[in-house]
Amino acid sequence: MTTWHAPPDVLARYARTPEALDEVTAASVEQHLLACAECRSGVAQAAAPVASASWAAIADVIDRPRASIVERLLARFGLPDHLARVIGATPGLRVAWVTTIAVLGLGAAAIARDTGSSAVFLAIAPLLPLGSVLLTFLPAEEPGGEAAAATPLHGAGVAIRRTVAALVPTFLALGLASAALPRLTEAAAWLLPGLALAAGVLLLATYLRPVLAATTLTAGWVGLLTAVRVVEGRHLALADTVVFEPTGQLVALALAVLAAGLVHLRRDHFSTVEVTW
Amino acid sequence: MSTPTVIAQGVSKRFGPKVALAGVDLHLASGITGLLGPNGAGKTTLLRILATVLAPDRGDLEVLGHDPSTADGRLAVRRRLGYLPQEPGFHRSFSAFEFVDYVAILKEWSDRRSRHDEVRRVLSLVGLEPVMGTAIRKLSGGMRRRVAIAQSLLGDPDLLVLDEPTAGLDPEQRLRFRELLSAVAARSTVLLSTHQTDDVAALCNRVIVLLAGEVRFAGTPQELAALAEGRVWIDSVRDAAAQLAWITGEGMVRHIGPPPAGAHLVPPTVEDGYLTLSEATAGALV
Repeated sequence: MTTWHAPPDVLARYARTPEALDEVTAASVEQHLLACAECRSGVAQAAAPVASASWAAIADVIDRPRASIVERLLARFGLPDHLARVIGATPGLRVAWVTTIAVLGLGAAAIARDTGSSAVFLAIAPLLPLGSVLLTFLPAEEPGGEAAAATPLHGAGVAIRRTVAALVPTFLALGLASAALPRLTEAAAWLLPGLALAAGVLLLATYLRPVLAATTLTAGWVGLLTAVRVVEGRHLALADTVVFEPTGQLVALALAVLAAGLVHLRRDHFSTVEVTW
Repeated sequence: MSTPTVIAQGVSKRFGPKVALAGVDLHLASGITGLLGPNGAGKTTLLRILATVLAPDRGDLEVLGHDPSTADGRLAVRRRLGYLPQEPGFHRSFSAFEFVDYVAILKEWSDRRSRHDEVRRVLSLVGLEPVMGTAIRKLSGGMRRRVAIAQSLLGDPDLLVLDEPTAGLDPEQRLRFRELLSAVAARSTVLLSTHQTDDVAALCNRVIVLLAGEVRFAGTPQELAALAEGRVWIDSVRDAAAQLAWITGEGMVRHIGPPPAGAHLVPPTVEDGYLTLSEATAGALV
């Protein structure tokens, strides 16, 4: 039994950063610890925070949710990992949906090549971004369920980021599909109407339930195309009607900008469950 | 009574032709308040309004000193609120950890390490640490309920709004939940909706009874029980004059209603008081 004890600061350094001690001191402490229970206890106490921190770091690595492809992609574009998770966790953004859009787009483009008419593609392509926006708003698409609606981040910020994250791959997939169309001018004709319908459904969702908003706009789009065909004559190709001509494109752009502005003004409405769901 | 956490005056909500809340007035302060009422009485609507996920059509509301009808007020409330919805509707491919972590992100826990520590803490509070990596779809109903309870506890909220928290919990889990909630209530205001009058009797220092969208009683559980004072008796046979009667586990018949002469009166419970109130409202006992 010894009455001498190693100084606390030496014990602490031995426990936490033994490499910082010279060899002679380290050997002396080791020799002393063999005979002194009190100093062994001191070493254990000094090492506890280090062990605890190490364990926390290990647990954090084990528990950390695996990031999805979308999350990793968003993070690569500089989005903080927690925001990437909120946006990327939305099932509607999954690859399956984008694949569906690509298949639909390619199918319509193939029909256009076979028949020489892009009517089917131009009729459905502008509706697919609208579908993407709708998917991000469905209750089943909110991974946090209703509990998420009572959190500080719930609202326009998340809703609009999710919308953008859903629209980017949708437009990319449609862009690739439209490259298969016979005429290059037709390949871009769906873009502005698609943007207008996407902004429109976002705006209308601040007044109506999202499904009703999307249904209304889809019916409006089909009604518009039907009316145009009736007025301008069935002999005219859809791509040559006023909807897809420069005048129609300018109107679509103006409507998209107007809807985006109104969405900004009505952003507070995304904050309650009634509007969002 | 300490400073109110929630003050509601004339809060009303209608869904089409159906009136869910018809001018609700209430004050909530620290401690646990139980919200009793039959299905369709408006309990869930009231809780959703207090949790800021639903806006009332009319009335004034102050939650944690803020007005939730404004964007800033709603944000301030949500930063200090824990909410357990009746139907959590969580994404079932998430693990318990992932789900609570996701809600923690929405509650502005942006630092990953501290967030994960908090997620582990709340999952540990509800006894789910051993299964926190398991997909929610593989968990039992009671475990899923505990996952949902865990997310509501994130960040030690000042106001905890719980919609039927004990639904699906087994008796042992219910007792553990009571223990947990009584510890939380020492520093927070808790409002819990339930059909379990024994939970109210065991946990709550106040109780509110909501019937047909209106507050019909607000007081202590003892005061609610006292509404049935002198109206509960035990007999070996059923009395046809009683408004409610049922055979107990001991084979005796427990009655509620105007007692006959010489009846063996027994002390009423919270359940007796609640039944007396709801039957009186329905006109059966008046």
